[in-house]
Amino acid sequence: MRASLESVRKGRTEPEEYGRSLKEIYVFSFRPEGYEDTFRVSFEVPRRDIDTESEPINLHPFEAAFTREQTAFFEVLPQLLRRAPGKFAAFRNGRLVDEDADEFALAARIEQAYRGEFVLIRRIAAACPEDCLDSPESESP
Amino acid sequence: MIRDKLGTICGWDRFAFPAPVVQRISLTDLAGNAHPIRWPGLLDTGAERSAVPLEVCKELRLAPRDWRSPRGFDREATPRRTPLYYLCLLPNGLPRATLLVYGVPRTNVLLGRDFLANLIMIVDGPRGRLRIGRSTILSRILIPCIGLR
Repeated sequence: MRASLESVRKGRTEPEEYGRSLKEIYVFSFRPEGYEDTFRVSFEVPRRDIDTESEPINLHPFEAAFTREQTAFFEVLPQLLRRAPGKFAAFRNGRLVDEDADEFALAARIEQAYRGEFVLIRRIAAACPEDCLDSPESESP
Repeated sequence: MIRDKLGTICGWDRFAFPAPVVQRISLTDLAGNAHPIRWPGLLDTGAERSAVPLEVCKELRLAPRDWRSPRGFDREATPRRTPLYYLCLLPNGLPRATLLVYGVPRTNVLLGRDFLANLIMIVDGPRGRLRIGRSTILSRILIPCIGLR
């Protein structure tokens, strides 16, 4: 059975509602395919059962854009390798927007045109770029 | 041991060797906007690429231009995806360098082999000297002939 998820809400009970047991509430609303009614399921989890020691995942605001541009880069890489191997390519919104043999000239143009926006700049090469920071100094979190 | 004895005779100790540090580095983006702080730079021949404090990139409102997972010194470490930024490094007394650098949480600039690629660095341990200078055709000929500048 397939269903579309309509909403997800997260709440928190007040301490006085459940004595001293503070709970987190997760509410999922979904509508199964072929049904007109929306169903709602809620979970209540006592806060003492939530592992508060675990590290929160803080995604960099540009990471989603990076995934999109890198996917676009790999999609057109075979063509780029035939046409302009060794050059540098710039990708924005899933499209090739500029290319140049001079990496820094390209970076300067991109900075001028799309300052503050994520634009992937990468060398057109079959191998993925890899760096080795051998120093313990570079290991600090 | 011989070195220690020599040090005693000559009046210097084995810790007199200078740290490979460039005292003040200005960091600017490719549009010419400079960060107000001049950062100390630590020369590190073990690092393939330079790294700057992430707060510089944030305060200059730069967007990263790529992300990579650099391997660490033990090569077994879990790769951590790290943003890369284009920056100009203007070290005091040395030529400027435009580089693609890592933005990492740190309080100094790590000057890697990409920065050193256009410079000559001479370490003279017995004399306790460290020289860093421009790489010119003349210096490439003269330095092997006459030793340190």
